[in-house]
Amino acid sequence: MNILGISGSVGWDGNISMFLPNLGEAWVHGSGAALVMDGVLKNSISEERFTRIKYDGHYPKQVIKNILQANNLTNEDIDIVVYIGNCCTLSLDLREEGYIEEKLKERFPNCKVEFLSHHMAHVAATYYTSGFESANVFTSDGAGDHVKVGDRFRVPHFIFCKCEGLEIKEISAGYTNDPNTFFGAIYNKFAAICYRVKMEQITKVKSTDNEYVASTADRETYPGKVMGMAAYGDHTKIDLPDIFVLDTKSSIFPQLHNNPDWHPETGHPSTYKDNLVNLHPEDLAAWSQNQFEKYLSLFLDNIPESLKNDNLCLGGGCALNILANTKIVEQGIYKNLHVNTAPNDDGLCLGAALWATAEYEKVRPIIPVDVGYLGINYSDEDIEKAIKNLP
Amino acid sequence: MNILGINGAIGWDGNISDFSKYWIHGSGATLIMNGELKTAINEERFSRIKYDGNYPESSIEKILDQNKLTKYDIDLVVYVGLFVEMCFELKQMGYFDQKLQEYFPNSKVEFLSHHTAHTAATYYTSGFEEANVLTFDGAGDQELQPDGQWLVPVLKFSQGKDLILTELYSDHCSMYNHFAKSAGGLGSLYGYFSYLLYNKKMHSNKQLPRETYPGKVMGLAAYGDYQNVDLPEWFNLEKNNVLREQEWEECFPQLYYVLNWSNTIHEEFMKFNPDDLAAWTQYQFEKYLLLLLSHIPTHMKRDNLCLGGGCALNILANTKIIEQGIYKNVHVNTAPNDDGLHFGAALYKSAEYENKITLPDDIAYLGIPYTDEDIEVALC
Repeated sequence: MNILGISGSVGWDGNISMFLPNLGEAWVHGSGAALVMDGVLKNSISEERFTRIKYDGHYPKQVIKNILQANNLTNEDIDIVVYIGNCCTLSLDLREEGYIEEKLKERFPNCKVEFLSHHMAHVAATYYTSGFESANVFTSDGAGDHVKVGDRFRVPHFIFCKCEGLEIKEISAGYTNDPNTFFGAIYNKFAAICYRVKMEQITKVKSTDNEYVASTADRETYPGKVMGMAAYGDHTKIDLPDIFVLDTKSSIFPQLHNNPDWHPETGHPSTYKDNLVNLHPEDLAAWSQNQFEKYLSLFLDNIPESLKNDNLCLGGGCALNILANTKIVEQGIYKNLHVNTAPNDDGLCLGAALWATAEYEKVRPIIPVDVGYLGINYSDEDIEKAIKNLP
Repeated sequence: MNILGINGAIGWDGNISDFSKYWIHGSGATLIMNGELKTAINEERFSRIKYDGNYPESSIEKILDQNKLTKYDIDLVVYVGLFVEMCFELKQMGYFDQKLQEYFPNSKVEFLSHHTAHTAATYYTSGFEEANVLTFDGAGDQELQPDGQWLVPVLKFSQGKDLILTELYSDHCSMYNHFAKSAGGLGSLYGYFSYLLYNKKMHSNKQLPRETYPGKVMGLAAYGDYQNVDLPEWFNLEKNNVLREQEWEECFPQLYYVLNWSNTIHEEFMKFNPDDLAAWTQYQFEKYLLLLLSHIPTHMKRDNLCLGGGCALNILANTKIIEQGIYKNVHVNTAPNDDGLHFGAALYKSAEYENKITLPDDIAYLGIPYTDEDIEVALC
């Protein structure tokens, strides 16, 4: 059975780097495709490697062409296509109208089209590559895609699962628009401020006010830069209230709520954006990194014993925070920790293909030893040819 | 100066069909070189997709090829949109601007409103020195009103004189609900009824592209009798006068809905025979179009009339205008509907920048000519 996982925009330009006022978000990032043949993971590539557009969100045309060629397959040989959406209203709209399914059927005539939720793909990507027999999986990011909860669509930003063998069991999920916004979005918010203030200091060009809010296209860029900047600052120099309040009483699963001091209107004055931009950006970066680590550890530490496992798999964009990940092991909250190679949205296609393998073939996908290198192989002749063609 | 008029979806699939947020139809491109109309083609001729709404890539390629130009030779690109939200928002965001600049590096990018393009398409091809121009259709694209509101024009009445177009009156509907407006809905009512009765006649619920229905219903009208249908009239005609410079001046007549057609009347409507309904729909359309035209105030009125917009395809109604002697001469261009948008846009900008327009004699044949050799190659 040939399974293809796809993420990317179908039917529109995924690189529209804007938020449309009435239609909502149209930006897609990290599009790519992954192929699993008879339970063996073959290739997984992001479209940006071919188009050379950073965070390319187009339909991964070139990736699919190259993957199929490398494995001697044609479009007709694909049995299952799994499509993953982003937090993008267009992707939801077109999926609901059946447009995406129709288009994918056109391209892969013999296939069955499946839709998988964003966070499930993250979970599958990290769990099935971990090699653990059983594990807890925690994935978190800025926002997933629209999931129908009850009778309305909601966007999760974290999900906690208990996995054993092939089975993935969802324990808890957090949704955006809830009062308790979780790590990804908050970290992003501070990252945007730190980055802009620092760039102002360097370039001496004043940012316009709304640039302090992370715009869609830059959203993926800031956090990594700020994590690096955190090393240069001192978080004790910042006197701000904590971002979250941990609530272990209202349910057995720990809940993180936003600290009321951070309410944009009724909160503490020192937390207003106008005051935040006057702080030292390095110190603010260190402080937000510290907050992130502190509450991630607290959250994981308070997970009830009945659910807890020795092994933890992390996924989603927040799992790229290597400093926080290290702390989890250092503090002994979990014994073993696994993060897959592309925990962020670049790995969505991989997760989708792995999930479908477990679902349809009832086996754990066989992962190659060099799981970090899932691209196309180039022979010496290919390289020679390419060099000769250089201008 | 090389001017290229373009209509089509940039940045998404314009054929995502029939939900109003995304659907584009009649995309194509027109080239005018130094005031001389060269080529105008619709993308559907190449892609073989009816009402194709995608960016007219192959049309542009063929047009440039035919006229021995490259994309670097284009000096001005005019883009015309439709009322769909996606189009509006991307235009507002500057996305079209950016993309068109990418496609045509040396050109200036300009936008033209939908109804202005219709007006230009019919007036500049008419050959009249002085004329009234009436364009009307289901919906145009969003235009910013003086009060800061974005409204969608459905009917526009202008005056053309020596290549200069002046708008005299325009009628709008709101951006999101085409029925929640006070006036001018000749096109949308005709479209709505033809959709209902086509499905009744064909006993189907199959969704066809919106553009298909009206033409079929105009044909069906010949088989029915409008007197068998006992339904309320479409509109009330109202004429108000305004005080301008201390003198009372006659205003353009306005059509007001008699009923809210989208609700209860729908069931009532479906009781009748579809043939008779078609005749009735056609009768109502003609009646109110003629009423509107015969009440045009004398200070606005000229001898000649140019018609444009999708409703100008209604040949039965057009004929009646001359038969009843409301206008002496009536002109309708070859593609009055949205297929001619890019064509009108290019003409408008040519008149604006070059002050002249030269039209070929065979104005209905603006495609690519094929030589005998081309045909031979294709046959082999």
